[in-house]
Amino acid sequence: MAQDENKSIISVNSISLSFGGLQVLSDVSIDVRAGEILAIIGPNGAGKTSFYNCVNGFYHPYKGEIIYKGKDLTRLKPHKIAALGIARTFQNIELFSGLSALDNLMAARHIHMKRGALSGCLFFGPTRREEIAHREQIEEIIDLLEMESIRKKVVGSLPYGERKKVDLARALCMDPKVLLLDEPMAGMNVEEKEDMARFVLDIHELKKIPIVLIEHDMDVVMDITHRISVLDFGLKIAEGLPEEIKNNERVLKAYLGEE
Amino acid sequence: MRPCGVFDKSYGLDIAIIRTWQHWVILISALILLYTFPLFGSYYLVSFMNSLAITVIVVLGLQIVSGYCGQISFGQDAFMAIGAYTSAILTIKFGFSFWIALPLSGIMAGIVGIIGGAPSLRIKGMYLAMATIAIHFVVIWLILHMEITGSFKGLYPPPPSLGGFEFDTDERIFYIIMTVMVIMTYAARNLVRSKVGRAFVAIRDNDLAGEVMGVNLYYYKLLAFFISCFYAGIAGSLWGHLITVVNTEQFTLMHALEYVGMLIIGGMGSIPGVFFGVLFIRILNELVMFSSPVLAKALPWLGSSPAAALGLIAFGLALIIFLVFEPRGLAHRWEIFKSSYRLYPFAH
Amino acid sequence: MIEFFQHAITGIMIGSLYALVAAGIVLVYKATHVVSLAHGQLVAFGALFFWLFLGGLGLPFWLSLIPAFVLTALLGLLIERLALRPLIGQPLFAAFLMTFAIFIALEGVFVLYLKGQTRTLPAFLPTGNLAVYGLSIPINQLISFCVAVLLFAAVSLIFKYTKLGLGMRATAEDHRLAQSTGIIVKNIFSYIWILSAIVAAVAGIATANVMDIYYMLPYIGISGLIVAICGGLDSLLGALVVGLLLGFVENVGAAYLDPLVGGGVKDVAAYVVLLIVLLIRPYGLFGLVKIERI
Ligand SMILES: Nc1ncnc2c1ncn2[C@@H]1O[C@H](COP(=O)(O)OP(=O)(O)OP(=O)(O)O)[C@@H](O)[C@H]1O
Ligand SMILES: [Mg+2]
Repeated sequence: MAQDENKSIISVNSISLSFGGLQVLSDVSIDVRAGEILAIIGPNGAGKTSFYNCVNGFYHPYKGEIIYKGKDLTRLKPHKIAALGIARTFQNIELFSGLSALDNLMAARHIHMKRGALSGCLFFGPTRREEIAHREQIEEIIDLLEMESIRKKVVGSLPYGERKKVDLARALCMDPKVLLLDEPMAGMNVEEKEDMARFVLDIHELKKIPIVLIEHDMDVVMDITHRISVLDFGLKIAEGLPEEIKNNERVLKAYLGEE
Repeated sequence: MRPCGVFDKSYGLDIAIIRTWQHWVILISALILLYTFPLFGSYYLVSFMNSLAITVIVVLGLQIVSGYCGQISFGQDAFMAIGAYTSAILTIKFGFSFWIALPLSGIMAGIVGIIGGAPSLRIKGMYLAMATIAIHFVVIWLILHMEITGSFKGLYPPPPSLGGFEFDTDERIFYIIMTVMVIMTYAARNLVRSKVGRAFVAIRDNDLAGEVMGVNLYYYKLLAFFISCFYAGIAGSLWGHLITVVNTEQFTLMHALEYVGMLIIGGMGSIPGVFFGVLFIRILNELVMFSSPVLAKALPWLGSSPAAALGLIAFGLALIIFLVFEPRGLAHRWEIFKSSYRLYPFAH
Repeated sequence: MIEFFQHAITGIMIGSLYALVAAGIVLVYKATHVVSLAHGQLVAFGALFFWLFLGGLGLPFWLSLIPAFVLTALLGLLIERLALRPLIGQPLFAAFLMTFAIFIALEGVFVLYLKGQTRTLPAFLPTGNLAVYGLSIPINQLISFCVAVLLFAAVSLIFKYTKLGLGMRATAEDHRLAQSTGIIVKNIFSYIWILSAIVAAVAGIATANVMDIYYMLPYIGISGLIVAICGGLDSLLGALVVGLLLGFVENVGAAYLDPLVGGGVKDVAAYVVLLIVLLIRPYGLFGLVKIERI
């Protein structure tokens, strides 16, 4: 069992990414291991979101490789990577704002639904049954994240905290094998943060999948994560258990500036 | 629409469009009314309904690609032309029956639509809108410069017939047109609430997030164009066999602009909105038509036949008013009305 | 060879008109990021107003020019105030659709006024042809070509060096930031529409100088849009270069391809050019590539 836990699900091997001279990531290697909650922290502009963007195929690093369960993701398109079971949330909440919360979640079942356009037009028998089956699945997630009251609301009109939740729920509805969360607690009040932290732990408990978490709130990070990687100016400057990171000199320097 | 107190007992019921027996009554009586219409409607009304229904089919297609998938297209009338010409050529030059030519012209328009939709893979928004204007003119130009299309002279497709019965009057072909419209509406309504419809909206609202959910942007954008142009092609075929003449002068950019206007007024992303938009613009047009001789007499400076110009002005002003005051169109008003009906007699 | 140059010169002369039409679209885009479909109407109305005074009332050239400019500018201002200002803060695409609505409404007014007839401007520029190296260039077209180039230079200078231009550029960069530095963004929008309308009037008058005013005249706005987009939308230089190029391609293409395809190359050349440019360089030849972030 112990061996199994250390097996890495995603291994990112020294990727480098740049935009017209701006080096965003240099030689970053991070492994995501089975069943862990891994935090990625770092000051603003360190390249955390860009790291996610590489993993799920928005950006393609010019060097290095990203291996997921033995498969090379480096050149794949985002929708292919999604189909492999990597789901993510977004720092700036990228929802389908014209749809209800429910339909946002149903849209996330996309990769699991098999019926095509023609049977969609008829909406009969198997198509209808498929629709209902998936509806049952997302209702479970709605229960889990306590979103019953906003089910039918158009997400564009929801308050910020609720939209963050829909974003998380949507990623969950993909039935992912790895979950990447980009600052799920940013901009929330203490209560909402506590809720969100609880949800992350619940999800981890229930789904037994590795979760990667980008977060600025150190208390949360120290509380709920198993391991921490620290990025600064596109470089990985430290990695280890929360206690190790807490006392790491380079990390303190990066956060507090040279003094 | 459902009255207060009707709640969903299962997810199956929750996703149903028709929920109560009252709905069935309304639906069935509406269909009966529709199919008996030629028995009591005047010739003028029947032909008005024919052209209305054909426009509904075109705009349904546009609603799918523009309203749901978010890819604005000003090329819809050109694809209607492709349908009309395909059907005319198949029936006249190759002796196909109308019944086979009809679906084939939809497919033909759809295939050309995939080519026409290709720019959407690289560009969005108003760039794409301009590209579709270009596609309109290129398509019409190609039709004019081919031999098989009869060039400037056009073609004269025969009216449909079935087992010796000729659908050669407006009252007769009415049944074909209405049946096709009902089927196409049914299909569109279902499509947009299925997996494919949600993928379309995902692309419209946030294409990058859609990709992260596993939506293949290329495939679904082209699928949206295919479906939309399929609708246009079917409508074109019906149109050709209705008026039994097809030439390039019938297919203008102004029509395509009008379809987009109907979407705006009816409401983007709503199937009932298509009906609202088409009805609104067409009735507005008829009103202008009827009132313009009177106006012309009262105000001599309007000239002797101001109908076309006044129609444009009325259409343009209606669009401006909707864009400012109700950008979500009549469909939004309808939603508001529906939800207040649902809650009646309680205020909230 | 001489024949080729003749076609090329004629094409470039026409191309300068396209460039002028495109210039007005680029101006509005630069400051407001709205792509105006209605611009063709400003061009057509500019020509019509000028005709009203020159041909209709028989006023002299300069006395016709000024009221034509004023009226077109007013029309531009009206469009901005009544139709576009209520949409500030909404998605840009709504504004694009609004300009489309304005196009249709004004098209109705234009058609209503013309009543199916055409108007021809009396000759107000010297006529005759200039012969150089065996090429023949109509003098009036040469003059409008020169006006176009001068106007481009003038507008570019306004944009670069005046305070107004600075405000416009700042506004184009970032509306909110500009507002916070004390620039009144709404006023800038009005000024830019006025400036764009005056450029449109020049374009309209120059166009009516070589062709009649008839109901299709507003559609020159589509050619202008094509040029503006191919040029990259925010580049005046792009508009000038692509405008001339389009005139050249249309005219030379028509001369050599028409016999092969049975005519009509001129009607479709611009659209084919647009599609090719959009496929190869989606953001135009001189435009900046926009990056999407998530
Ligand atoms: N598409 C892009 N083009 C140019 N530069 C980019 C692009 N994406 C990211 N960058 C740059 O890369 C750097 C890292 O950005 P990134 O968003 O990954 O930071 P981050 O660690 O997520 O910061 P934050 O904590 O603020 O979210 C920044 O300097 C940013 O400007
Ligand atoms: Mg970030």
